[in-house]
Amino acid sequence: MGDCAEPSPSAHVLRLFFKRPLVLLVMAGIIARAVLIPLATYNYDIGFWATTIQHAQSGYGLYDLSGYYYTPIWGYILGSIGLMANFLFGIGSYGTIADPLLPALGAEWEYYGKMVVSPEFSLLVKSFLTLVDVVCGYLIFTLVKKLGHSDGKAALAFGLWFVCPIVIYTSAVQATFDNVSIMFMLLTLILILDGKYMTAGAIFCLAAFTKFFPAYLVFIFVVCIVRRHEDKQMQIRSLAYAVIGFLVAAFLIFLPQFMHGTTAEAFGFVVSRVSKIADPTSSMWDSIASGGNLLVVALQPLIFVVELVIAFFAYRLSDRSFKDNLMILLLLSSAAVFLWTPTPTYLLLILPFLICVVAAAETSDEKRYILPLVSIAVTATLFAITMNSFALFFQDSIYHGLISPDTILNGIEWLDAEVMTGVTRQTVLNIVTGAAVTLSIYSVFITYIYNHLKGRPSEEGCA
Amino acid sequence: MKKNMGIMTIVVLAVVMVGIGEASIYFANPYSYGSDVGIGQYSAVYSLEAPGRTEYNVISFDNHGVSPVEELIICLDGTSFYVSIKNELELRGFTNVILAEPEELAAYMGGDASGRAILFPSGLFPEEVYDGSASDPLFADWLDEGGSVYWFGCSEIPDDAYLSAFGLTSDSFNVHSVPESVSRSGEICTQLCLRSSNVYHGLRSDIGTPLAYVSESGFSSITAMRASEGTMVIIGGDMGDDHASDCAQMIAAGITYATTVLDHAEGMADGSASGEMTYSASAAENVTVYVHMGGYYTVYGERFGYGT
Repeated sequence: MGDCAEPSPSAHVLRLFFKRPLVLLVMAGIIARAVLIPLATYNYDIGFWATTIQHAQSGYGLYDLSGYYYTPIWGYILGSIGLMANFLFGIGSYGTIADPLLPALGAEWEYYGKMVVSPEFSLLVKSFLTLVDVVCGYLIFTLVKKLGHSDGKAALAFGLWFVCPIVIYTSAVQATFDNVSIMFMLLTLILILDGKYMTAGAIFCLAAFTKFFPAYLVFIFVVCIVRRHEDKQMQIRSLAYAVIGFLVAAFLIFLPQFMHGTTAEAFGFVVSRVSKIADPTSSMWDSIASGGNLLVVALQPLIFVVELVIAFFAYRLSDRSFKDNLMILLLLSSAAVFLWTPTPTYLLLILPFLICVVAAAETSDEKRYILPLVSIAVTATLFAITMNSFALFFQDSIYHGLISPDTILNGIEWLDAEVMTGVTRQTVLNIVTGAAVTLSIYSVFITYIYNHLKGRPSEEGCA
Repeated sequence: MKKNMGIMTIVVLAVVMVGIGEASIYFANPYSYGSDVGIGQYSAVYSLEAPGRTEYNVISFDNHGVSPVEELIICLDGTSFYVSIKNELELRGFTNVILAEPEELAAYMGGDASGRAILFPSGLFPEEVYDGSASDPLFADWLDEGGSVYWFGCSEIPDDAYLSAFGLTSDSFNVHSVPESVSRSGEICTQLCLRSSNVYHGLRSDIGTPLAYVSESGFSSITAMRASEGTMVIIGGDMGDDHASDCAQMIAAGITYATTVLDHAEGMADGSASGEMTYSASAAENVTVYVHMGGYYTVYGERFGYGT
């Protein structure tokens, strides 16, 4: 009887996992997003995206009204999303004010927005960002294949990206656009490896002016171009093509700002972060943030030196060694960007390379990078949840009535309570999770140094 | 060639998405809004045009003989805040804006004040127009003539002598920064989609007409008060994005200390919308109708008066 019985569903799933791990990883990623997209929305950032679309629709560009503080690429993409919202999906209301939750604005932690976007608006923005997640996964898949690995390893890399908690959180919960910048960065690398330098330069421009962080990889990308050719003239010509592509794209991107005289405003994000260093601080967290911004600025020379050293090291490697270690070099370059404690979603910059190294790992040295991968994925997600906390449920409360405003306000009050003079629970949690994220980033270097000291540097790399 | 198709398709789609967005924002804006309102003594008929589905509000006001602002003078204070206010006003159809340095203000304040307002974006009034004593005639004359003042408050509340010219004392302001629950002051807050909810340095709500939010302790985030024959609007809280849009909304709508709502219509304009509002106004010439679209994310506004 028992022998003839149908296998239990769990046994079926287990067998499926071992036969087709990618199918289950993709299913898990889709289910996680399907649950989180409607139920958890961080209202702060996405409220600004609605404002940006409002600017576009009112005919006042991105910077003539206040509310959009980034370089223009994401604004332009929001312009396209606005077209879809208005003309394709008929979304007439982008949001409202969260009246019962306004007392939250008095908390020391100031990132509780008063505006709550409508469910249909957040669904549209998050759906777009989820699509970008899929595209990034495809690009990671392509990259692993391009470096000579099997379909299985490439598929595993896709799956690891697609189920990575901080990747899911960034697009499905926080609705921020870090993955768009990653998409352009990965495209740049693939185009370089394909020898399409002018397009690579143009796409690199899009990456750097979506979020600045991919710009730090310019040195290693230059080495990637140079190393593809023996002939000096060919090297110079290839670099020139890339520079031309970059400049043409930059001109086209910033043309409206040149015409409107708002180029300075397009870099408002950087200026505002630097100016916060000198701001008089009113709370413990403000002091920490101000100190953190000072540290970011102070570390920039060191970061540039590290990037240059890695690039120089890459330039001096033998052809075989360069190909074998390309992903490790890119991983170190991207991790070096964050010698400080970044906002958790920024860490998407490191993940594609870390995932490539882990998915393609063949030696025990390479397999050790699983620890930084898991560590970054978990701590970054916890850091994000800590910082977003009860703001994740504003939409649930205002539009769906799933959580009472009192529950949210009580939670915020608990976080805002001081555990010692001037130090709130929110501050303590931020420090603990932020420190964990920083350790996770440094674990990339620790793993590399540990492997190096063991005297068994990666033989196989991603090859 | 075939193996690059996927990558090149992504490149093309991404560039197209960025390009279409850029073009739609700066070079070929496809959004076009319009409205028309016919005002009578007992009713107003409106028709609206919008691209796709757009949230709209149409509000008819009775200003009871107090002239709404027709010309705004913004006192420059060294910040670039005026740019946002000016553009926020312009998108609401209010284009009659003068930018003036403090030393130029006195000349502007010398003429007819009715239907004119001065906006002070931050801090105390400049010494060029107010020396801080009630005997200084410039402000008093301006308000006596029916001029209006929009004041975004200041980082510190001045003393009683400074404020007496406006019938205020330092006790009129909320100096407690402790957060407290706030609620909407009334229908104008909802109908104009006002956002400013910070009552720190806001006025006591019983001093004038609270327009946006009122706290449990009775302070108002935005107050329109009568000052002699003019209107003084005081906005509490730290200067931010909401100040510019709320201030523009109030000026464009023509709100004065005497303004009352006659009727209100709201809905979704799906390409177009029309309707009629009925009311009993003090006089037909006292009726103004303000149309705005986009709700809390306002993309269009226009004020109509009797006979315009």
